[in-house]
Amino acid sequence: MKLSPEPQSALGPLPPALSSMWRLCKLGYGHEPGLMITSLVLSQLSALPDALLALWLMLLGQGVVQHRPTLVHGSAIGLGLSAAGTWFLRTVSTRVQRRFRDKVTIALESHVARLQASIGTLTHQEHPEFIDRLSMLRNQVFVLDHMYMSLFSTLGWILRLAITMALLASVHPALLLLLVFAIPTMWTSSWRPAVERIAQEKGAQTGRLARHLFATATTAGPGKDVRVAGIGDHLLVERRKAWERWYTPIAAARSGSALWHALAWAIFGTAYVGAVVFVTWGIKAPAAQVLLVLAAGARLSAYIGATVGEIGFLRGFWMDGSRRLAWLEDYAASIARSGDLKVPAALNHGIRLDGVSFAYPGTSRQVLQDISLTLPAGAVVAIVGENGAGKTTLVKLLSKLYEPSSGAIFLDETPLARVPAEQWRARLAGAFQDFFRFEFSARYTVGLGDVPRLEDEQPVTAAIDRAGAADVVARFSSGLDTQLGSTWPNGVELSFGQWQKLALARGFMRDDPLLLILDEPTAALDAETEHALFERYAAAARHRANGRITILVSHRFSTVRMADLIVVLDGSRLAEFGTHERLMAQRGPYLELYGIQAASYR
Amino acid sequence: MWQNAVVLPALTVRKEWQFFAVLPKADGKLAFLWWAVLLLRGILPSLFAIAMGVLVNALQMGQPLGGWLVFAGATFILLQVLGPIHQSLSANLGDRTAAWLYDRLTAACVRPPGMAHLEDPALTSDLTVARDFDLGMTGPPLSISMDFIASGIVEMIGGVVAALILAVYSWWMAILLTGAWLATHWLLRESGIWRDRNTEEVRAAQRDADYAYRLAVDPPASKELRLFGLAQWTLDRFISRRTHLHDLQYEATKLRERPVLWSMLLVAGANVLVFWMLATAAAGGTIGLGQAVVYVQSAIGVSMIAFGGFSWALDGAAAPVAAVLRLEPAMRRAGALPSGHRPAESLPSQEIRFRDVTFAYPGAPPVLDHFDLTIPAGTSLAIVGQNGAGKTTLAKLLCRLYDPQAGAIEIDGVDVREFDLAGWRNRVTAIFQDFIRLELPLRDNVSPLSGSDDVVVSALEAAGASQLASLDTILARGYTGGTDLSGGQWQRVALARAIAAVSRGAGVVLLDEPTAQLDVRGEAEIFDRLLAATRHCTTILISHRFSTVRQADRICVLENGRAVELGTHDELMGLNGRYRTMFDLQAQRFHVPEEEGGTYETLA
Repeated sequence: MKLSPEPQSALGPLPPALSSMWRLCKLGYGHEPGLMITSLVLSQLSALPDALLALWLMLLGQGVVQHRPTLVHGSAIGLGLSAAGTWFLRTVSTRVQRRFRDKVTIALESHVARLQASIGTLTHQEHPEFIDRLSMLRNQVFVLDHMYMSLFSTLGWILRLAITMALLASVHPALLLLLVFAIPTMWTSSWRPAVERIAQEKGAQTGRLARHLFATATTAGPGKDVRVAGIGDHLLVERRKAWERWYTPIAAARSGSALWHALAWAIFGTAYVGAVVFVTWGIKAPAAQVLLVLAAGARLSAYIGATVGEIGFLRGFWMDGSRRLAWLEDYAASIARSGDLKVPAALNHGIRLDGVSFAYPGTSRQVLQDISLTLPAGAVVAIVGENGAGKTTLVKLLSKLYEPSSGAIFLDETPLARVPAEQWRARLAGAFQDFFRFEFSARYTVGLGDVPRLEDEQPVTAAIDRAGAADVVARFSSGLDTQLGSTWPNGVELSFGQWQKLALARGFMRDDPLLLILDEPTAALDAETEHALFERYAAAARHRANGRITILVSHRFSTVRMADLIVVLDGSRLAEFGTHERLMAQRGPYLELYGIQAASYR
Repeated sequence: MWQNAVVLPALTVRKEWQFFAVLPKADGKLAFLWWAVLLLRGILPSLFAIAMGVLVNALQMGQPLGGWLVFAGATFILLQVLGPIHQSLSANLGDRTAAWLYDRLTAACVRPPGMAHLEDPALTSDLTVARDFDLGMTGPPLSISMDFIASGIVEMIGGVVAALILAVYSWWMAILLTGAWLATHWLLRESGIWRDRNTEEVRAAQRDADYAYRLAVDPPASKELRLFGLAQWTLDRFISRRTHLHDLQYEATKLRERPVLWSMLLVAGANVLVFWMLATAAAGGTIGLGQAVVYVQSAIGVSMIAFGGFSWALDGAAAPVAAVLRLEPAMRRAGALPSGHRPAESLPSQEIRFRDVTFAYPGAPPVLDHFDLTIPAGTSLAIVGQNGAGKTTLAKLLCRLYDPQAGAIEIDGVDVREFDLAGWRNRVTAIFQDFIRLELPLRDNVSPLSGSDDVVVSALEAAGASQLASLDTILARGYTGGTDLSGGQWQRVALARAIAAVSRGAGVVLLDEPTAQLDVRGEAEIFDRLLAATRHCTTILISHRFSTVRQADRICVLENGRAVELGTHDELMGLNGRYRTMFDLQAQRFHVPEEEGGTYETLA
C-alpha cells in the first residue's frame, strides 16, 4: 500500500488542553473521589510550614536585634517545628498520593485499553499517523496519572508563592515587581518544552527504526536469519546510527533549552540582587527585614522555579497525554455510532455487495473498485486472485473491520453499516494467515474463539478435532493446560504449522456462525491434514439451516475448485465469478491460473 | 508502578554502584560534567546561607556591604542557573546511558554464534528487563529518571554540607540532627521500596498483566481481538492481575503507624532542642545575628538528608544495568558454539551427509533420532513430512544454529564443526518460514550487508519482484514513503535475498516453504527461476506442495525423526508408500475429465 504523495491527514487536531485536563480530573474523581480529595488537601497543607520559614527567620532576627529572648525562642521553636512538620506532611502526603495513583492507574490503563480494544475498526492499529499518535498512550499510560500529581504540586507551589509574595510585600510593595522579572523564566519554560517535543516527534521514525533493529537483534525468531546472513554486527552498527540520528537533534534542543532557561534565571537573579540593594540602601530597612527579603527572595526563586518547572512538565508531558486521551475518547465515540438494526438470525438469500469500493484511510489507491456480487446463503465461496488483488481487504470489509469508502454490503436486506459491529462479529468465525499466537494455556488459545465457552472442555476438544489439531495437543505433557510460548514458565514452543492448526481450531470454536472466514489458513499445513480438513468442513458447512456462508481465500486450486462459487479478483476489480466448471468454460483468467498449477501435478 | 519513596539503602548494594560505574563508560565527558554540577549544586545552598549571615552581620555592624553583596549575588545567580543546565545534562546522560546499555545488549545477543541464549527460559526474565527498561513501562525512561536521581543526591550532599557547617558551631548538634534525619530513612525502610517484588507471584502477575495489556492495545492481535470479541475478556484479565499486583505492593510498602510516630517524635525533639539551644545562644549574645542566621539555616538545611539519598528512580535505573551485565557472560556461555579453522570455501564438492544425527531441544524428546541422509553436492533434495517431523530442525542444524547431541553432519567427509563457522555460514543461505522482515529499504532487505545494485536488481528480477518497489523504498508503513508488502510479496523479497546470496558465492540453499504464500502463477514461475538461479548449488527444499516437491532431484520423506523414503519422484511413486499416499491426496482434486485436461495442457 503506497501512501499518496500528499496523504490527506486522517487525524483531526488534538482537543484543547484545559478541557482535556478537566476531563481527566473528572475521570480520576469518578474512580477515587476520597483519595483524590485527601491527596489534594495534604499536598496543599504540606506547602505551609515550608513557606513560613522566612517569617520565622525574620522574627528571630527581630528578637536578636531588639533583645527579646521570648521572641527569639518562640521563632526558634517555630523553625524546628516547621522543619519537622514539612517532613511529616510530605511523607504522609506522598504515601496518600501514591495510593491514589496506584489505584487510579489501574482505572486509567483499563480505560485506555478498553478504548483502543473496543474501537470497531482497524484504522488506529494500521495507519502510521494513528500509530504515532497513540504510541504514547499505548506505552506510557503513567503520563496520565502523573498529571494529577503534577497538578497537585503545581497548586502547592502556587500557594507557597502567594505566601512568600505576601511576606515580601509586607516589607515594601515594590518588591512584588520581582515577579515581573520572573516572566522570562515562565516564557522559556512554556516555549522550550514545545521545541523539545517537536524534536521528539520529528525523531519518531528513526526512533522506531532503532527500536525495530534492536528487537530484530535481540529476539529468537529473526535470530536464525541474523546468523545465517551474518548481519549481527551490521544490525548493531545500524541501530546505533539510527539512534544517533534520533538523539542528536533532541540533545541539541535540550542544550538550547538549558541555555535559554539559564539566561532567564540569570535575569531573575540579577533582579533579586537589585531588590536586596533596594531594601538595604534604598529604603534603609532594618537588618531583620533585610533578612526576610534575603530568605523569602531565595525561597521565591525556588518556588518560581518549581512552579514553572512543574507547569513545564505539565504542559510538555503530562498534559500532552491527557490531550491524546481526550482525542482517543472522541475518536472512539465517533466510530461507535451504534447500529440501529439487528443481525438477522439466519441468512436466507445471502450477503450482497453493492458497488463496493475501498481505499485505506489516508491513501488514494483504490484497493477494491466497484465490486457488486451476491454470496448465496449456505454456499462455500472461494476468493482467488494474485497477491495484492484485495482478497484480504474484502474479508476485512465483510467482517466490518473497515467500512467501504463507497457502496454498501447487505446481510439479506439489512445494511451491514447499520448493524452494531460486535453483534455482527459474534456471528463470525474464522482464521487468518496472519493469525496471532495467543500465548496462554492450549485451552485458552483455542477457547478464545468463543469466550463464553472458554472453560468448557467439550467445545474446545471438538474445535481441536475439527481443525485436525488433536495431534498437536496430544504431544503436550499437560494436555490442554500446557502453557504455550517458550518465554513463559514451563511454556512450550510450537512450530509455525502447529500454531496455525491451533489458530484454525480457534476459528472453529463457534458452532453457529453466519460467516466462516478462512483466509489462507493452511499455507503451512501438510497434505494429509489439509485434505482431511477441507473434506470435513466442506461437508459440514454446506446447506446449514442458518444459511452459513464459508469464505475461503486460497491460492490452491485443488481446494478452490471444491467451492460452490468462485470469485476471481484481478487488480482490485471483480474479474469473473461462478462455479469451477463455468469459469473453466469461460476461458478467462481463472482457467489460466488453474492450468498453471494443475499442470505441475500431471 | 513507580514508587515515590526516597531511600538510603546500605551502601554495600552493588547494583547502584554498577549503575554509577556505567555512566562514564556511556559518555565520559558528560558523566564528569554531571557529577561536577551535581556537587556544586549540593554546596551552593550552604554557601548562600553563609553569604546571608555575613551580609546581615555587616549590615548590623554598619560595615561596607559591596563585596558581600557581590558574593551573595553571584552565589544566588549560579544557584539558579545550574538547575536547568543540570536538567539537560541529566536527560542527555540518561539517553546516552540507555543507548550504551542497548548497544551492549544487542552485542550480547548477536555475537554468540548459536541460538540457545535467545531461547533459554533461564535468561528470559533478565532479557525482558534489559530489553524494555527504557520504554517507560515499569518506570520512567532513563532520560527522566536521571533527573530524579540527581535531585536525591544533590539534597543529600546539601544536607551533609549543612551539617558540616553546623558542626563548626557545635559538633553534637550536627551529630544529633544528622542522626535524627538519617533515622527516618531507617525507621521507614520497610515502606521505602518494595523488597519482595521479585517473587514468582509478583512476576507472574506482572507478566500476565503486561501481556493482557499488549493484547488489548497493540496491532498484531487486533484482528482476532475484534473478530472473537475478546476486548472485555482481555481487560478483565488485565484488571484482576493489576489489582492483585497493587495489593501486594501496597501491603508490602504501606506506612506503619508506629515507625512514623517514632520518626516524628525523634525529629521534632531533636529539632526543638537544637533550635532552642541556638536561640538561647543568640538571645544571650554568645553568637551574633550573622552567625545565628548561618547556623539556623544550616540546622534547617540538615533536614535535606531526610529527603535526599538514592532516589526510588535509581532502583529502576540500576536494575537493567545489572541485568545487562549479568546477561553478557550468561549469553556468551549459552550461545557458544565451537568453531574450527578449516576454510569452507567452495564446499561441498562431493556431498553433505547427516551421519547418525540425534538432536533434541532442551527438555523435549528428540526431533531427529539416529538420522542418516546423504545429499550429493550440486543436487536438489526435497524434504516432505508431517508438521513437527523435524524438517525445519534439519535446516537449522545445517546452518549450524545448533549442534547435534550425537552423530555429525559431514561436509565432504569432514565434521562441519571443524570448519570456520563464519566461513561455513557464508556458504549457506536460507529462507525460513518466519524469515526476517527488515524495516529498511528494499535494497537492504535483498542484500543486507553490501553489494552492488546490479546484484540486487537481478536477484529481484529472478524472484519476479522487479516491479515491487524502488530500491530505496522502506518496506514498512510508518516511515516516510514506506510501503507495506503482502505476505506473498515479502516471500519474493526473501527469495531475492537467497538468490543474491548465491550470486555472492553461497553454495548451499535451504528453502523452508519458500512459496507457501505465493499465488499460483507466482509459484510455478518463481520456482523455475529459482532452480535456474541455484542450478549449481546444493539445494534443500522443504515444502508441502507436491507440485513443487516433484521438481527436486531427490525427495526424502521424514517421519518420527528418520528418513523413511528416499528417491526421485518417479521412484517414490513406484514405491507405493507414504509419498505416493500424500501426493495422490493432493493431486486427486486435479484429476479432471479428459476434455478439460486438454485445455490446460496447451496453457501450461
